[in-house]
Parts: sequence; C-alpha cells; structure tokens
Amino acid sequence: MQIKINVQQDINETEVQITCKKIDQDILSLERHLQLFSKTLATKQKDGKITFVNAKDIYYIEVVDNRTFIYGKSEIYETEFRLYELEEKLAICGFFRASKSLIMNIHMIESLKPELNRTLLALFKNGEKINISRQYTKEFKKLLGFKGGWV
Amino acid sequence: MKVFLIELRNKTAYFFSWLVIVWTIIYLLNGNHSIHVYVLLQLFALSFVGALLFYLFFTNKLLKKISFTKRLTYFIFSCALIESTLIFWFRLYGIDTVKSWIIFLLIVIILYIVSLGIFYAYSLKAGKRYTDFLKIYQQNNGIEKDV
Repeated sequence: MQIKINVQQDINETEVQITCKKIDQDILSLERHLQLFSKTLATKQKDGKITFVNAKDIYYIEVVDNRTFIYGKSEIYETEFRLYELEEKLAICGFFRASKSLIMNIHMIESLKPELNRTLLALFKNGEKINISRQYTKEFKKLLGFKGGWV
Repeated sequence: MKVFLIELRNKTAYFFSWLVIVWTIIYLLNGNHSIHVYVLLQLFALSFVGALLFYLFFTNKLLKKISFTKRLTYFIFSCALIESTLIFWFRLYGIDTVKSWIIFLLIVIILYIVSLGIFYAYSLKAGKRYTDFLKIYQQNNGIEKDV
C-alpha cells in the first residue's frame, strides 16, 4: 500500500482519498479507522441515506438488538460501528460508558441527579434522561473529580 | 435469575428481622413473652411479599426509566394494599374497625409524604453538588480542544 501526502495551501479541510481496485474488508476497516480518527461517523438514516455525524453533536450512543444507534439532538442514526470501538475512540471527546449498552457524551449533560439506588440520572440538554448504572457510577464520579461522601 | 434470588433472599431477611424486632417489642409491651411459630410464618410471608414488591419497583429489571417519585408511589400504595390484605387475612393486628383502617391509611400517607420530603431534600443538595462537578469537568475538558 502506497501512502502519499499532498500539501496544498489553498484548501480549507484535510481530505483523505482512498484509491483501490475493489472495496474489501481491509479497505472498509481503513475507512472506519479514518472516520474514528476524524471523530466523524458515517451513519445511515431511516431512509437509507448515508450522513456524517460529528462526535460533538452526539448526545449518546445505544445498542438495541445488536444494532448501534446514535442519538443527536432530535435525530437518530444507525451505524455499523460496535459500541466498544466507539467507546475506545470517542473517550477523548468526553464519551463515557453509562451502562452495558450505552455510551454518553458528558458535554451534552445539563445536570445530574442522584437516585437512592446509588445510580445517577443524567439530564441531557435536549431534555432526555439517561440512567448511569450502578456499575459505572463510581467510575463516573471519579472522572468528574468527586471525592465521595454522602452528598 | 441468580441475582434476583440473592436480592430476594437478602431483602426478605432484612424485612423479616425488623418485623420480628417490632413484633417482639409490641408483644413485650402487651405482657406477652413468646411468639407463636404461626405468627413468625405470617411475618415471613409479609416480608417475602414486601421484598418482592421492593425488587419490582426499585430495580430497573421490570420498570425502566421511571423516576424515584413514581417508584415510591407505586411501591408504598401497592405495598399498603397487598400487605393490609394479608394482615386482614392473617388477623395479625387488631385493625378491624373503619376507624383503625383510616388511621392505618393516614399513617401510610404520612410515611409517603415524609419519604418524599427526605428524598427531595437529599436529591436537591446532592444533585447540585454533582452538577457543579460536571460543569467544572465540562469547562476543563472542552470538546473543541480535542476535535
């Protein structure tokens, strides 16, 4: 595989173009890595249209029946990525695992509320509520720098 | 299933212990120095039902994404209804007049209001503190820095 880098002063955005004989698994994997690197994910809408979503516009990502859904302010997209791949790559953008099937964007949380069963309720900027399961609450508090105590 | 059974066992044991302590106090105050095995079995049945309802309303297994207020409301009133039916059936306690049932209902409502009050006070204070930590995190780790 040849790698060429062309420097052009007059462009606004870096563009990566893959030239190949055919689209195989290696090419698809390369494309996925590039998408994750740029923090922009290729998603499929209900009508089958492919759109690109920037990580900072995502509220949370959830797996339902082995399908990965991305939730924006009011839009829902589907992606081919697995949750663990997204968790690993998007951690740098402030994504955190809230339960076994969900990762959330911490920057989209408006407020937090404790529940008596030692979980946390995250209220998002779009009004949605997500329950951070007990398993991940401790780690989440640690991430925020919360030292502990009853309240 | 295993988790459910462990939770059920632990909660039943917890409720049963407290019920036996309370019943012992009531019996001692009334001058009785022994509890019949049949009464203990009835208390166990009450504890088991209470534990079952607690698991049902306070875990995410059956009821998902509902607020604590709704959970508490469902729990207290279903618990009062089922447990009082059992108490009436077992003839465990002398609440067989309309007046005593009204007093019982008032106790349940007062307990409900007090529980909600405590929860709201705690929730407001703790929620504010968690949100303050969240805002500091968001300011220090702005997404624009990384993307």
